[in-house]
Amino acid sequence: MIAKLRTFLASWWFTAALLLALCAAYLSFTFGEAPYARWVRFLFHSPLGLGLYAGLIVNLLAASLLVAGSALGKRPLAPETIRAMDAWTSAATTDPRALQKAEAWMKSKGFPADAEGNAVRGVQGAFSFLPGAAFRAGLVVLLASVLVSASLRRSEVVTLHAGEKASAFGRSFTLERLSAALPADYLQVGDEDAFLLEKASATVTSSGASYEVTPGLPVRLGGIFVRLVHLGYAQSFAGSLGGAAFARDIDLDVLPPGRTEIVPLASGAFFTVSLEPDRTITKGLLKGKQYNLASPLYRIVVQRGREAGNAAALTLRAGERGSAQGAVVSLGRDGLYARLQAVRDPALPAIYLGLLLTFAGAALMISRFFWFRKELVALYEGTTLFVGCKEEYFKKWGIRRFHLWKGELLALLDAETKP
Amino acid sequence: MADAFLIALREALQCALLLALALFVPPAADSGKNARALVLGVAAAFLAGFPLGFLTGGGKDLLAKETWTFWRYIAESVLFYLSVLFVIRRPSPSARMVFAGLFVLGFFLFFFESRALGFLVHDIGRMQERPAAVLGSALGGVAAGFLPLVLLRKYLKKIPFEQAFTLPSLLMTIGALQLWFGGVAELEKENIMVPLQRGLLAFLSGGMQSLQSLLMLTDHPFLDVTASGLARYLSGDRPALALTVLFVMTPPVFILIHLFAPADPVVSDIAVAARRRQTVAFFRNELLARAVPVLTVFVVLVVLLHAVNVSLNPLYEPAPLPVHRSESNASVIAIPLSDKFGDFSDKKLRKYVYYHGNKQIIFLAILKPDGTVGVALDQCEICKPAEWNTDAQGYAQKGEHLICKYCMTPVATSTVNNPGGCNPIPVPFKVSDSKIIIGVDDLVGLFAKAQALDKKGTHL
Repeated sequence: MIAKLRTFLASWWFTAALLLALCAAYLSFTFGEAPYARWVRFLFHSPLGLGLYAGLIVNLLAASLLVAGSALGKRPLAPETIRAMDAWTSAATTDPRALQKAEAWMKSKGFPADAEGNAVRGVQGAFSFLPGAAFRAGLVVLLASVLVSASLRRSEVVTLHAGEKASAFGRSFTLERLSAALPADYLQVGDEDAFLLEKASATVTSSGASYEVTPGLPVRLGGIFVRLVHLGYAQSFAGSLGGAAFARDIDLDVLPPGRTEIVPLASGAFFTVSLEPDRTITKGLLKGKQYNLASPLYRIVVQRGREAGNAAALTLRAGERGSAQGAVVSLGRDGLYARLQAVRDPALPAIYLGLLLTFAGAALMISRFFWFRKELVALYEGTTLFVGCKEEYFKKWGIRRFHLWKGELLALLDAETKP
Repeated sequence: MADAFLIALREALQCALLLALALFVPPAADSGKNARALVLGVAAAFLAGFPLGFLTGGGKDLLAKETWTFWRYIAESVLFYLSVLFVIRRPSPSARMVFAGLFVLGFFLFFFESRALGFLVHDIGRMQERPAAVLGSALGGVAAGFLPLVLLRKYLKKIPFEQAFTLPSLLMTIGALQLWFGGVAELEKENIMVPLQRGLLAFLSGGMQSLQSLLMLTDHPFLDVTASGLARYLSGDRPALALTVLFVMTPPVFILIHLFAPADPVVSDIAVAARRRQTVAFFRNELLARAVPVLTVFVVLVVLLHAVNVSLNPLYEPAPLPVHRSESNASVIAIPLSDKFGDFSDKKLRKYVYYHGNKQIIFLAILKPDGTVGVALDQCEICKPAEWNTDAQGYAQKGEHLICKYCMTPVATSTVNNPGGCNPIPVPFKVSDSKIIIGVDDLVGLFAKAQALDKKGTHL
């Protein structure tokens, strides 16, 4: 009963049934909005979904154990098992050294023969199950860790300026420095936007240790993982508008060039801030705009109320002051701000490990085209030598090869084959 | 009325073809009872589906059109993949199971098409205000569609279908042909491939976003995120197309592998060499005969995939806008670079037509990658399709290339204005005051020369 259950849990039929059920679930969600999001919710937050998901993990685990067990285990040899192999022959012989000759013949064909009482077994590719095992193991680790992550992950986003301190999930850290390779001569051609900031990092200290946080792989800070998820200009504004003074530090979201930030002020007035090109180059019908992103020039439109004609436009850099239509604006010191994502998820390293193992296993699977299990066995029972061969793949060629080889063994034994 | 007859005829002929394949191959060919099960299934499908569609026509369908189409796709896919199942597990069902199975097969050969036909006939009857006549002609079309099968069945029985088809390859062939035929074309323009690829694209896109979020590597508009390029590629068109190809090609490839996997028969115990060779030859000939339907399906599916790929990545060809002589200078045509029809800076192909007497001179204009404008006739010096073949005349745009619709040669837009080869014939022009200025005499003269070249017959 247990053996049957084990075989069923490890079977391809069970895998196919589970995958079909998951596909059917997804298809049922395609009739509405956001099918993928709903399917993920179904998988991780409904009993049926969790059951299917857990079933897949159990199936993969059982299959891996079964494959490893049958590859490493040694089945007892009997004439019936040899007759069930891909190709076999038998020879009547009273040669007392028949088994040794069979062993020598196997070794001459490149099979590391292993004597087992009245039988000899030669196996090539005994460990060829490893790529598949690695692939399945990677999938098991990945699926299990995703399940854990779905329940336990907590995420927070904090906005920091250089020198500021923050804490997330009980862990405090300080943003020491922000650096970004903002070019002084970024050229934007036409309407296409290809702005990519390749080097951006935040130096963070926590508990006396210093960490370099980038938009790339997350950095582990004690029990949490931190990553840089956004960068922008931090600019202080001061001035007066219609007699009312204002002073504010604003985090501007004006990258890439072309984006506009709306900053509301008191009494219904607001700024719109965008980056202004230092220079515009025209070639044919194409226009190129050159921006100094290291020391940006801002276009500030001060809008008083909703009526047209109440706008005053200024272009200023940090440290400059300007006025138009009764509005006075001065820009103070500039800087950068960063948004850091902090995640508490004990399963994150396992997710990475699972993904790595899965990809490694998938890559190694290519070797299975030429690295697979081939078995040659010989059993001497009574006065008959039974010889059989079995190959995992390309059986046709294995059978043909065996029929070509068996003549040599029979010649060695000087025996006759039994039909 | 003729429409209803022709549509019904077409659908019935398609079903008759599939039925012919199934009727003369085991298990249907094994006994009259099995053959009757198949025919009964088809009849039941028509009797159930046609009234269902007819009675619920007029915009009040029982289920939404998309739902019917969805279930048709499921039925076609199940039939297609049953072939794989029957390769892995050779069934040995009882006679009753065989009867039931053949009935169900016959049913799904014609049910969805019957329902769609009934719906369409109801609509056509209403529009033409002759429902009875339209219904009669549709039923006549169905009968006419099955008539060849009835008349030719004695001759079809003599064709040795069983040598070419096994049960898996039969199911695969029927499934593949159903994928190709699709539903009733007037109601459902797409076959399964297009929504399958779109669906896979949506799934991959959602999946990659989830994975990136899991790995804390969510994409960003301008910060360089690790492996973002790989993620974008994996959530793009190509992996979706690859999965579509995998879905479609798995059954024929699987069947082919199983067909050619067995070794040649063992002939070492046959004393006579000629008999040994004969045994092996018979075996191999049988294999080849069995491979023919599988390879035919393979070719059909490749053509289908190509058609789907083309429909998902269509060529852009705008309708030509009429242009006239300029009001301020009657000897030129002035085309603004930016007007209510758009701006050249969008780098899209634009076509114009100038009427000279009874001739239409079609020319194109496009902004090249270097920012200059290219203007040329909508024809080249080499290709000249036949007058009736209007679909193959001129150029269309695909990305940064113009494609000659006759020979499908891509021409880089940067080479427009350069004469020769597959390039469109350049038209002299100048850009002034944000307008393209073309001399009318230049345009007409150039067109006349091109026409003269056509008559001279120097084309493909």
